[in-house]
Amino acid sequence: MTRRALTRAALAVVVLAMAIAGVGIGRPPTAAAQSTGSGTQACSRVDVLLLIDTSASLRNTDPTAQRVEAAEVLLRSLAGSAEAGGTTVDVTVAGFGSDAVEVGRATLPGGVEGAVEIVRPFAERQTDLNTDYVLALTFAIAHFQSVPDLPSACKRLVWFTDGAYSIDDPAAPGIATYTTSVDPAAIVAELGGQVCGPLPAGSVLPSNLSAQIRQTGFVVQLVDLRSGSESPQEAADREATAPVIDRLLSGDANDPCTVPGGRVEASAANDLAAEFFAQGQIALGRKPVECSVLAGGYPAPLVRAVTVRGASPTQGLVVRSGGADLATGTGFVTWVLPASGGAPPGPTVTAGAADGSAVAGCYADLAASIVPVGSQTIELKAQSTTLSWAVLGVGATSTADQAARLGPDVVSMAATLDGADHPVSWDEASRTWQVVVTGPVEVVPVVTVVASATGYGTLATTSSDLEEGATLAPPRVAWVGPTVLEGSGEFGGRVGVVPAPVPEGAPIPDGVVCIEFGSPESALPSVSLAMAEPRVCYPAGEPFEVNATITVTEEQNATVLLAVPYTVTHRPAGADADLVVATGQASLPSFELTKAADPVTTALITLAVVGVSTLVPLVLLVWLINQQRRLPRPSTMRVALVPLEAENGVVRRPEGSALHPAHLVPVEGNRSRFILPAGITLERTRTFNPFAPTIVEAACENGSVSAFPWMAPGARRRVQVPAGFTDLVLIRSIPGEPVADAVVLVPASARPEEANRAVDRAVASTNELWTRVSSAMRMVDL
Amino acid sequence: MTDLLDRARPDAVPEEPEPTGTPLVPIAMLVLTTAASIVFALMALRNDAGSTDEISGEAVAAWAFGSLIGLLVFAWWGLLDSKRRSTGTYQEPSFRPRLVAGVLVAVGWLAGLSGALMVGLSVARS
Repeated sequence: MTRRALTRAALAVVVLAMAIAGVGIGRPPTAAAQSTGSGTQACSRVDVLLLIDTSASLRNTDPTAQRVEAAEVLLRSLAGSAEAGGTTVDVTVAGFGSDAVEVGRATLPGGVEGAVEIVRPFAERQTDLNTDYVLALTFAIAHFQSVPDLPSACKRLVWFTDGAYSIDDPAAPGIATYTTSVDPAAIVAELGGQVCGPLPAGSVLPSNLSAQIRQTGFVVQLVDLRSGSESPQEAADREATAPVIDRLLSGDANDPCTVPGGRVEASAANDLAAEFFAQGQIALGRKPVECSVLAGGYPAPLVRAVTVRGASPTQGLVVRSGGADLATGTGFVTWVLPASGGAPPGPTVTAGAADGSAVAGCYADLAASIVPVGSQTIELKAQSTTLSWAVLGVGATSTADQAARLGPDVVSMAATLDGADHPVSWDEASRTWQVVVTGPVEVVPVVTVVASATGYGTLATTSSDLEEGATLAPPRVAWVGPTVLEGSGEFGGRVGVVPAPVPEGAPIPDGVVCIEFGSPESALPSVSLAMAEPRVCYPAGEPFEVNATITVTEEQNATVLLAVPYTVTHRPAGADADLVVATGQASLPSFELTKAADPVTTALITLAVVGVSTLVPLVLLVWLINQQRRLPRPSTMRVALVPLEAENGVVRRPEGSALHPAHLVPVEGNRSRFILPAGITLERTRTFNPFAPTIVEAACENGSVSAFPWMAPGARRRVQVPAGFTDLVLIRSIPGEPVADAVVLVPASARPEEANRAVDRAVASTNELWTRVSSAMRMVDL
Repeated sequence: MTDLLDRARPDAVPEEPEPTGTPLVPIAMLVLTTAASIVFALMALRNDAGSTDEISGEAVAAWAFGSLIGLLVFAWWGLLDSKRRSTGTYQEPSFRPRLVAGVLVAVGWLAGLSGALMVGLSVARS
């Protein structure tokens, strides 16, 4: 075993050196992929799918069709914003219930009246028995798959529902498109698997819906009307549905079920207009902000758009900058930075009621970009390396103009070094933000910087290791399969790719992640690794595995380390190029190669081991038993012969019979055999029985013998006597003869009186026994 | 042996010997060796002992406790018990020591056998 340990250690050193060399090759000591990242990009065109619930429960929860008025508010606000920004919004209106059906399309702002006409009939669409979320999401996925030319942030599902996933009509034709189950309860119970996976047994979906949503790339905005007038059944349906929808839209980027988006609840139908308005703004890339902050003003270089919704349809609203009105309106006002440029005249942009009164809601879209300045190379052995970035406002594209570089008066910066917080400082001389990496370092660190604005949040993020817009950290790549390889041949396994946790607040990755494998390396020439596919792609954020085969051509006992270089790329939804997010070597474990065991050899060795280990104790026991069955040492014993009289089976000592010291003579024989007077012998019998008693045998060539004080019942030619006796009386008798003999064995130290007493006890005992036996025989005769 | 030997006249023996029972210390040790053998065998199985040519320490320990030490202790107990049974003053305890000791040593031996098999597999791969 020591040799094996040394071999393993040596192999580990060799392969570790090989792996380090491989890492060095696969990942040069420079931050090769320096780039900027930006916040949400402005969409020149937005595709909105307005998906409206048409289930019968709306008669109860929204009897006055507030959803239709809210949809109209949404469409008009979208149109107003599109007009202000010179962009277009493609709206598709669809209903879902027992099925999911497109009702019409319009392009805003020009087609706003047509869009309003499309949604108005929804006031009467409230007859469907089912509220089929699976059909709704499947419809949305199919819709956005037909819009591949837009980034995912520009594709928005605005999804209105008043209840929960419920199936009251299992015969609805749409159900068969996603499950083979027919029992309503079973269909409802499958929702979690259909949405988050693993797919239930009856599912006919190609993959779970959350994976499809991420792969397609769109944002889900759910408006959930939670009326207090729900029936008990509706409440139960919601109770069952809520965990799945909550998970889908939880915002927890580390949950593989979560997709980009969110959910808002309206506690009453009258709140729907406000919620729809908010969702419209969110769909356009704006986020709700504190109205007091917007009234105080955002830095003008950051503002891409602002919107204010008035407390009433007649409230006067205004957007200002530098004393000039950028936009005015009643009910709501929106201002969008013109696509042609033209910065606001003042240092800030403010918005609110013209008279300073309170307003209902405020929304803003701020942006910036982070651009690397100077060398982005990190030398591993350097004592320190300074990386610099410039932050540019909306519309600024070049860092040449130092005045365009934004400082701490406009933005705040934070940085992390390999995931840990790291200081970042503002250098006024160069008007750049700087991060100092202290060296030397073993591997190129990943530096991430984040720009944010007070009262708004994150504006832009970039990483020294990521391409523009990418925030996907390197995934963990590991071997899944056997690590002990017996004999030669091919051994299957999988290389698993597990996405790295997404930092809190970072956008949820969408699109596709691909892994491309290089040529695997092996420490032994007789062992090779082959990947089933050199390149595989899966939806971002979802773990996946790639089949692999290890081939062993020569049977041996050894330890081998395998390494497989890989490159992970990420293509966000709507992007037209792959971004390299990680390179390295898969951390395969050490594999134990072992020769195949021959069954016959194994059995023989086992039998030998067990046989020896079993026989040794048994042989020892037999030997000990036989040792215990020896007679006492003859020199420690004395023997005397006492003649007896016998009559009718009863024996007695003659008158005046007594033993004297001269009668006690040494015993003739050895520890195996005593030769005693009157033709009696005591013999040690050998045995192979490991559990035999520790006895010796008394034998008489002429007559029967009985032993006292212990004996086997009755008198025979041979009787068993305990081997460890201290004193022993053997009585020899011949049936029908008037004489008998008593042979007494006592310790050499015993006095004649003790021998006499032993003989007397023996005579008394044998007579009593004979009396009992003869009485019993008489009873039998009678 | 109590069934073979009989006290002919108990009341005639002036020094009444103390009754003896089965030796308990070896049985307690049998319990320990059997338990140790089972534990080591399970540990060896969990560590896939025998799947390589590296001889598992746990498998060796399982074999040693179950098939060697256990049997030796059993032999020791058998010897002491046999001697005591031959005294004529033996009183068998109610827990049937022969059955208990036999079951213990058999279970331990089987656990030891599994350890030996794992050792045999490793040796066969060498």
